[in-house]
Amino acid sequence: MNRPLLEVRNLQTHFLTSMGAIRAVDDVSFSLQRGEVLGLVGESGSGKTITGYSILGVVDEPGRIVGGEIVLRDTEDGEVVLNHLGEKQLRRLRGNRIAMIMQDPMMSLNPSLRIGTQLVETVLAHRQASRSEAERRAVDVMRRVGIPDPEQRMQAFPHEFSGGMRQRVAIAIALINEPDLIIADEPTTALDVTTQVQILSEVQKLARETGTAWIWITHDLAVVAGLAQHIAVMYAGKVVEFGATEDLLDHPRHPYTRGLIASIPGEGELAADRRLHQIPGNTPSLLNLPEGCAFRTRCDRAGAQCDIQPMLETSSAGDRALRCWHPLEGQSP
Amino acid sequence: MTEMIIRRLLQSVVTLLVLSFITFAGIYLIGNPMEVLADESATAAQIQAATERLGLDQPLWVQYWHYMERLFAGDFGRSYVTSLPVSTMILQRLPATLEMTVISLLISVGIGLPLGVVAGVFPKSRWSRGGSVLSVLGFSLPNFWFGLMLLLCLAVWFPILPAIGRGQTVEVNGVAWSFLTRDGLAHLAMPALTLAIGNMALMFRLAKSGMQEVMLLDYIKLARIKGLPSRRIVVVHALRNVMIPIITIIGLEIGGLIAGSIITETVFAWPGIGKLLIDSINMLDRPVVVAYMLIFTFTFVLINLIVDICYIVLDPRTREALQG
Repeated sequence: MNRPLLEVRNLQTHFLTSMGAIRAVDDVSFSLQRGEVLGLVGESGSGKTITGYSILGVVDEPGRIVGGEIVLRDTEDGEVVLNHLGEKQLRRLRGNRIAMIMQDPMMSLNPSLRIGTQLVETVLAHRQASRSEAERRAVDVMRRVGIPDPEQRMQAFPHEFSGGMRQRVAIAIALINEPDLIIADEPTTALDVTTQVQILSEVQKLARETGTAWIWITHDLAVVAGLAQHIAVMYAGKVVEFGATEDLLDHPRHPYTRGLIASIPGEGELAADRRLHQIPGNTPSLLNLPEGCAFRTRCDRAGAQCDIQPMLETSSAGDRALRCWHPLEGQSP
Repeated sequence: MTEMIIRRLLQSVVTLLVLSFITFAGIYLIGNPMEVLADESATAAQIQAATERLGLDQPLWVQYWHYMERLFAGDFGRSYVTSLPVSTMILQRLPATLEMTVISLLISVGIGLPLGVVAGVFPKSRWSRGGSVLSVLGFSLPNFWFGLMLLLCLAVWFPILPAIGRGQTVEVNGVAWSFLTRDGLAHLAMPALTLAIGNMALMFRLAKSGMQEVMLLDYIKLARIKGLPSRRIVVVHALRNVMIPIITIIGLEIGGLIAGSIITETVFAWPGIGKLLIDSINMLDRPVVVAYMLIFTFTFVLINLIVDICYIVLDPRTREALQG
């Protein structure tokens, strides 16, 4: 196995508020090979987005990375620890080697700048290119993400685009500098279902063609099932289970992962008499996390031992990790 | 867009007609100018003759009709008090007010806006908090008080600047300007600053709160994620969107500055049009008052038109609304 492109080790990003520290990301670890798609799955508030922002170094005040390491490898000059870099060096990597697609395409494009400008500036911020070169690149990448008539559309403003088209623009912005890693933060959630399917299948194609690695953040296991090679499941700021997609879906070992899988409506099972499985209770408030395993209040396997926080144990083969005292024995859900 | 401009100008004609009548009738109702104008020793016959000469013996609507007839021929009439043509009197005084207002606007926008932008980008800094406190002082204290304090400090205790008047002026096309000479600028400094302070505070607060809000939006986050230099994020991505409400306020404030100039002109004995208006109202000098109102209403219409054109340039979404 090659050394991974990105390694996140024990990442901790806390928000230091007057009401105490909110541990939005608390001990997250995973790694990602070149060209691989990793699904980062969890409920709202589980720290997925903040993990993405931490990698890019764009966490807003009062949030701060307080522990851990984010290592990005280069084929040539070894590795850099992203969270030890200064703002200036980070800025050179952002949008260049690491890009991100944000969740809501209605909000993430600047309403008063032309689409072309928003693409071209991304090129010019990182390359010694002429304007016309940058424009050519922009037209090219717009065509690749399926925007018809790119030369004319360059002159348009975001409000002249539909939601799906705007998200294509956002994807084009992420792709334009051919980054090594793209973090996609639920990029299809805000779109209607038919557009979702289109964009997903195009991203799948792009991921295969470009050799870019993706971190696909979502709350929907079904979305990443067909997309990702590996899945990391997050709960209350922690990775609770990590594994190869098929293995994890067929043999979930964490009770939370099993709950997530059981709540996906299967094909042909939407008959009125079949109730979908629910995970009882709600995600706990991050301000007031219980001691020990955060999931134990919703878990049917919880015991006395769960008052102590379990560690993330990696299997001997290194391809599976789990944070649970009472794991399921790899049975089908 | 041309259509919009023409439509606006036509609307303004209606506004001007209504306003001219209200002002005209208003002054008619306040009293008879003859009582103020006539000498104590004047005989009843002399007063009668003067009243007839000025047409004041005729009913209101006839007087108004005659006034409008002359106005459409481009004649603002003559002052009852000085017998000079009103257009001459206004043109003599207008430049003094205009240069004071424009310079004060430049000071308030040129200083208040950039400071507010910086404060909005770093809202937690000591400097930003201090600025907010000062800005409250800036627009809650009345500007005549600032004027008097400036006079006290800079003209009485440390006589650096001249206290009153316009100083040396230069004639350009028959119009006298102060801002073209050193001495004139020295005379302009205190009145313009006095007039600017409230507005500067307002610009600071608007720019600060606007930037603070915009900097948290998703598109600014994406601009950071794209790795853009921070100067470009602030100036191109954030400021452009903050400018839309600020332009509106600047437009409204120009009106406020002209109104505020009346007080400032009184404090610094600045021979501007504000002083002329006050004197004319006191003397019931109707032709001057009506002409003043018409000129300034038209100015307001123009300012609002310019503000709307700025919107179209800044916010692409208004373009369609206009065409559709």
